[in-house]
Amino acid sequence: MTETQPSEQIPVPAPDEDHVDLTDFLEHLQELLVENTDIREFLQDLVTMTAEKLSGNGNTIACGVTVIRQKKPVAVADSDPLARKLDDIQNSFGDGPCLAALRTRTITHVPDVREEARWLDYMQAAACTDVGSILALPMELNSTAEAVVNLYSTRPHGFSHEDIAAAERITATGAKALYLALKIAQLRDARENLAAALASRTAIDTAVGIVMAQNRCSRDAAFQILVSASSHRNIKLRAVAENVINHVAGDRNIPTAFEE
Amino acid sequence: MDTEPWEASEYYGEFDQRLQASCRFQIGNISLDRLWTYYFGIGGNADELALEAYLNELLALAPGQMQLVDTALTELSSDGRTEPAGQ
Repeated sequence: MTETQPSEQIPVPAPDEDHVDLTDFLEHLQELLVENTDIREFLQDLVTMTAEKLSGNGNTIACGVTVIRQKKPVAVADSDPLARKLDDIQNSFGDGPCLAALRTRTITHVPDVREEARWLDYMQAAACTDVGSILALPMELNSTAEAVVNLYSTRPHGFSHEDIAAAERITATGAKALYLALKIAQLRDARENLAAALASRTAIDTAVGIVMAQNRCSRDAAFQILVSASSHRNIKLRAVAENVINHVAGDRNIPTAFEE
Repeated sequence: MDTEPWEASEYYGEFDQRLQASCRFQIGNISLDRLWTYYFGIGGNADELALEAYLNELLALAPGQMQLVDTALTELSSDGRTEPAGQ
């Protein structure tokens, strides 16, 4: 995995106009997908590579990514402490160039933090750090989530026209990979939840059967008894069911016929 | 029944119970998928479409099923389980 220490950021040769070579970038993204790394690790590598790709010519660029789902930031990765600090400041204000990029789905460029008239509170706080200019690019994730790439240059006017074009290409490429990674994680999650549900349902059905036999009652009535016990004692329904089964059979593990 | 406001099915009608469930679902930051899977896991019998209709106040569910939806909402929120982005 790529190291994330800021001091180790390797200055790559200046991006050749907007013909930044993305071959190694693509290969690495593909590797991450194949290895099935988790989202956090994936984002961490993505920001590190993006920062490396865009830095050069003595212009150090820090990169942060924020993934938002149902209005809440769910995953954040930053290439170095400067990006982390600036992302944190912005999320605490709830407004700023990156969040604006996210909301309006357009690229937001702040050429000089000290002369920016928008988001005054944020700019004041940002001016206390080393940041000179900011570029924020939204990611297209086909509505699985929303994400924005935040680029911070230590220089004012740190993003040339070519840099912006290069950043756009890198972001678009990264977004496709991130979309896949999110989708894979989502499916894996859904599958795990379903497996857990099948196991839980087996226990609950068994317990319902036991209560029906003991109380000579209907299935609905047996369910009612279990649900009441669960809500009165503030114990999960599944735990109540397992207790019932345990009481009768002394067997806590109810195997579910469900193959991985 | 307990004194939790949303569990007051005997004091309010089934429409109120449905409204309560709908509100809890909306503020709960749980996806429909996640809720249905959990509800199915504790013995629920309505399919996902019926559950969605119920939560949008378009369809009624049997009293026992409504109670299971309530239980699922309670157990999911007590887990602090919100829908993760990837993890």
